[in-house]
Amino acid sequence: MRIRLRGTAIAPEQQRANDRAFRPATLFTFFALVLAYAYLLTHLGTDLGLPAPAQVFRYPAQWMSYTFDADGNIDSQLYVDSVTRFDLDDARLILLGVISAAFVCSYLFPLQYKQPALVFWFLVGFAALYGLPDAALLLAAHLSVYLCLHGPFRRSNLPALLVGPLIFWSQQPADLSVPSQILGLILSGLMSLTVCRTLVFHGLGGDGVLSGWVRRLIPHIAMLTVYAGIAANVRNGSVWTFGFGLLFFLFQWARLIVYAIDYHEGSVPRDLRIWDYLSVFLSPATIANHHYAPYVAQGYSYLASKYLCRDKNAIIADGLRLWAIALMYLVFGNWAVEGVVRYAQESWQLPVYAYISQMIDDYVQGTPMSTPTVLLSTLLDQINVFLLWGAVLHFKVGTWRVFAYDVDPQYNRPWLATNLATLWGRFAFHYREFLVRVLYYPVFFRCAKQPVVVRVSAAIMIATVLGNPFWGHAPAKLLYDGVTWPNFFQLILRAWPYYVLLGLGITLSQLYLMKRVRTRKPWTRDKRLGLDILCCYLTFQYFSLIHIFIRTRADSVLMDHVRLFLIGLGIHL
Amino acid sequence: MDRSQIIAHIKNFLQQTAPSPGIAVTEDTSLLDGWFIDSLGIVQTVIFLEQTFGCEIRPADINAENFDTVDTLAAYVMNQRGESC
Repeated sequence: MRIRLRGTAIAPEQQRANDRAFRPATLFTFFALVLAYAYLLTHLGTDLGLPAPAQVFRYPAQWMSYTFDADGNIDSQLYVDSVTRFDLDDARLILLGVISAAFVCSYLFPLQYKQPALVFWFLVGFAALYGLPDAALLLAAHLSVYLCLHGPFRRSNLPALLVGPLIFWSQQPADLSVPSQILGLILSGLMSLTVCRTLVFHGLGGDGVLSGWVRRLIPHIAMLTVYAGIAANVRNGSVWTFGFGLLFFLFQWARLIVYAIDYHEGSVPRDLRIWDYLSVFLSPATIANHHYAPYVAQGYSYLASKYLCRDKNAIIADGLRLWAIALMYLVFGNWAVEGVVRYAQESWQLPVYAYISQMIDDYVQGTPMSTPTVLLSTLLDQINVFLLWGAVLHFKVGTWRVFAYDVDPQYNRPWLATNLATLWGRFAFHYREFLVRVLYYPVFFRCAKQPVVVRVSAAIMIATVLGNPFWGHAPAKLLYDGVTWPNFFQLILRAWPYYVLLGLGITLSQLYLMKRVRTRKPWTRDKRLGLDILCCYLTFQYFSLIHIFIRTRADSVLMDHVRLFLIGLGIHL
Repeated sequence: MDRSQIIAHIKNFLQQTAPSPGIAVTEDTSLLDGWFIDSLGIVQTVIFLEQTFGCEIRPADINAENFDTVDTLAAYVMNQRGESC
């Protein structure tokens, strides 16, 4: 199946033309914003003897106390996850340093060295943040995938020679002063080279059944690992744990799956260079909040169609604009939600929760809930998510753009959506594209003989009710919270009403949009503007309300969630 | 149905489903640079082509060559219907 309308790769001549203009203003703006981030979100200012942000912004700090942390800078949600070697401020500073170095290389280097430079700086940053063994493991995992998919066609010996030593090093950091360690590195390299040249290059090169299966299963390794881990947990109670290098690799499951779809569609050259493969996965743009929307800018053909597709200064300017918006979210997000909660509690005397999970905890403990409390609390919970995503995902997409990839925004003013189908596209663009390519298209085109309503409904329901939990949420949640049956049951299976209600909502709105003849654009200033506002509220409220089912708690049962959902609809059982 | 009628149908459809109704789409407007915003836009277009012109669209047909402009889409439809341009 080949559907890659917008996946046309940009020709190198066009990329060179788009890369030509050098503008000092671009560099200046970039570093001004990086310094603003570093000052506000790290302790760089105090280290340099400057007053902390909380002192500079003393008056706002009085009524934005929640925004600043103990050391006087902003208690930012932008962080580098799972770092144990540094505190969060230091980790952020390293991240900004790596992004800056990568940006300079990406901006100034000739075209052929730009993407290798991004990979290089990713590896430097990853090794600095997580240590050489984890960086080695991550690189070994990706080299193995590369060798399986491209090795038989390119037959490059260097990746094959590197896999063994990298795995050796990841298990036991090598001391190069010890001869046996050097011998171990050499032997592991020779072993991996031999295995690749005899088994991989020859065995996986043809169109045989085995090679076909290997090439199809390798990209699904994260999914297979998660479900095998759950099976092992059920069988003998074991809980699989992963080194961070491997965990980061597995967290790129969506990127790998879409890469594989591109590969099988023929969009990826079989004899792809190693750097071109690695640049899809190992970009400094993937480090910050790595477990938030790891599917942003997925696959090969999407990135190939976005890289230097127009003037690089224009792409970078758009990225920096997103960074500026992200900074606003980071600074004012927490304060805004806290203000709404306080206002509702003090002015309306209305118990309100900032998070659905808090509301469920109190409800399970016997606290009665009113319809306004449920409606407002679910809205606030979702606003919290929106503010967080607005910050983190604008930063992520902005970083891709800073490196001259004209990536679509993952989060695109979702409050303008007047139906659920549009909301999902505005709130989680890349995630929806992932599910569409993995599940929606195959179902839609296989049902070509069916009526349109059946085709569209089946495709949406399979993508949202099956794909969303099992392909989308299960790897993300379980790799992060632990690959165990109890987690799978509580976080995924027990949340089934959420997936069903979401699928139904999207199906109905999509069918309605297809049947309706559009005569006006939403939010046009005419007499139907009020209807837009009502549709917008109802869409957002419905989307917020169904999240009651996905915020499962260890001590809650399904009926607790059903009752709360019905209370939200004004029905008290 | 002749070529000009097919083009008129396609333009009318795009005007209605496009992100900015009211903005004119011509025969040469690049559809890949803004009209097909996302994957669901493609699905809507496929359904429109199937229902309006009786085309049987295969996934392989959905490519930049056929979906580049209104003109190329019309040529694709005529080809599907066995009509010469």
